[in-house]
Amino acid sequence: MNTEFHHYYQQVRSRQKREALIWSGLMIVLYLWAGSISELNIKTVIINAPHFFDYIGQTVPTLHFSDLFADSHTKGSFAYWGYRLNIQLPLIWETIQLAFSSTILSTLLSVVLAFIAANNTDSPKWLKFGVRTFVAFLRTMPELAWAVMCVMAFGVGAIPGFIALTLHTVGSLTKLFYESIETASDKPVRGLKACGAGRLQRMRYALWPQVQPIFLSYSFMRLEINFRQSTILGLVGAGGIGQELMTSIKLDRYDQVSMTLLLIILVVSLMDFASGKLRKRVVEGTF
Amino acid sequence: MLTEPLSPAGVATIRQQHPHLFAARRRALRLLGLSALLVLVYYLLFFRFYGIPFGQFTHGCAEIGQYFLRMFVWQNFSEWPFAYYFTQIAITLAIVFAGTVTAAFLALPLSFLAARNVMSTPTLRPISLVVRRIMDVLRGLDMAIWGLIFVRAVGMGPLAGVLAIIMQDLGLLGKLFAEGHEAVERSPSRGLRALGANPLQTHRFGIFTQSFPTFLALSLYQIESNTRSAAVLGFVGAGGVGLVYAENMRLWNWDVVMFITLILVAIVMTMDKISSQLRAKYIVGKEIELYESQEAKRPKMALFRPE
Repeated sequence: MNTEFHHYYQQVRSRQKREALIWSGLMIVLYLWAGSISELNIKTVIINAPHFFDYIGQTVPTLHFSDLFADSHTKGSFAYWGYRLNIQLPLIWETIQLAFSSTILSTLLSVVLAFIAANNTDSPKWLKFGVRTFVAFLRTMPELAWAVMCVMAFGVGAIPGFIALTLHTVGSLTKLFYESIETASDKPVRGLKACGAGRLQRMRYALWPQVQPIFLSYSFMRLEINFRQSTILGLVGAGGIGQELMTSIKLDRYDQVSMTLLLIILVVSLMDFASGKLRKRVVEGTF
Repeated sequence: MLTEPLSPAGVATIRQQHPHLFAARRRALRLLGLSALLVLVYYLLFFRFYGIPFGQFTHGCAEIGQYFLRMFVWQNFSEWPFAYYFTQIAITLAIVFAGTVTAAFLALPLSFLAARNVMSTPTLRPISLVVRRIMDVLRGLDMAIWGLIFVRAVGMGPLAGVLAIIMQDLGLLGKLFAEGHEAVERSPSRGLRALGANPLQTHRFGIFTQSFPTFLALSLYQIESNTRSAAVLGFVGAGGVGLVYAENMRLWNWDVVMFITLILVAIVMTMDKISSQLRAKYIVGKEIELYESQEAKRPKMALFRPE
């Protein structure tokens, strides 16, 4: 009995050991290969490790405790550190507006497209296929690629960023939306059909009430993603704070880099917090 | 059963009998109208401040149309430098793999420091709070911004990309892992503590045994999701396929852009497949058949079977 159990235990244990060994071996080989291609190896890390954060250290402004609240001409005061705030704050505002406007517009567009593309809404087959291919194309191009394209077409400014974000967001939201329509229950649809409801009525009164909360929560999720995305649009000239960050880094305005990063972190975490609260209220239906 | 349409008089009676139902409908319509108006006003203001002249807009649309036309006409296909494109794609994959795996292993100890059920005593609580805030900061900056910073710090090239991925994923994975640790069943830890295990042993065997599948699944998912988004790294000079994108867009080689996009789609789809298979096989896993002694396997009583 005891030896029998021992035998069983050894069998299970050796199988687990073998699998663990194979997988960790494979992982290590892959990791070393990836490291060698991407220039990440122990030597560089050891040599560079102390300097990785030098740059971040350099961006920390010199603040003198004695005149923290002095005017903007005294070195070491908050006002001196934030001397470009009058430029940065409107840009942050623009960033927020970009995220908002593109999310709202693309939610509206995606709802329409999703009802066309879903399998259970009786839309014509060619239209369904067309919409699906179109949105797949929209979402596979990276956001920055869209942004570069729009900047080349429309010129530098906020509008190309808005268009690029909207296009990408339509691509990803439509997919999420039509998948959730397809998982909705079929029973209300059949019931309404039996009562003689038309195609639009079926969508409105049978499918829409089921998917509306899901749509809302996906839109909020996307809003949070778009807040992050809109901060980088400026890197290619498509509006927002990214432009300021890029020029500050390129021109070695160290203290302004830290100021901009601080603003971005503040706004992103604030927006995450607000959106989380709002989502809870809206999705749970307690306005 | 509703078999024939109601007469107008019938509708009127129903309306009188159940006024609250119709009132709800009116309220919903009013809410809808109000929000539509709000959205409209918002967009009017938005375009008032940031809008561009209409002529410029139509011109831009025509331009974009041209780009799309060029995307579908592949000229001199045989002369493209495929070796270069595929090397860049391989570099992107290597950046993603090296970055995410490193980040996962660095995030693991951090996540224990951030988990509230590990840092349960009042003296340790502040540590978890501080670690959480640090993770929020790391997560708050986009990968491209980290890339930009590291390009400045360590120079152009894939290393900057790897570091950017590590920084962002440290925040993201750390938070998710910590949530995984917090979601575990508490009884094993209590049992272990009752047997006299020290805190470290409790966390290792009571918590990590349970959250290990979450750790694997999230890391795998993160590799997949980073593959999708790593193209941005190249745009800021942090190595990889984004560089090819940026170059060819500036050179008006829209056909190459399309080609790279298609390759990326294929790669992402393959990654999806591989990772879902790995997940099914090793994270969900097979049940290990429980030990059963020969004694128990033997039928209790031989059935009488007439020959």
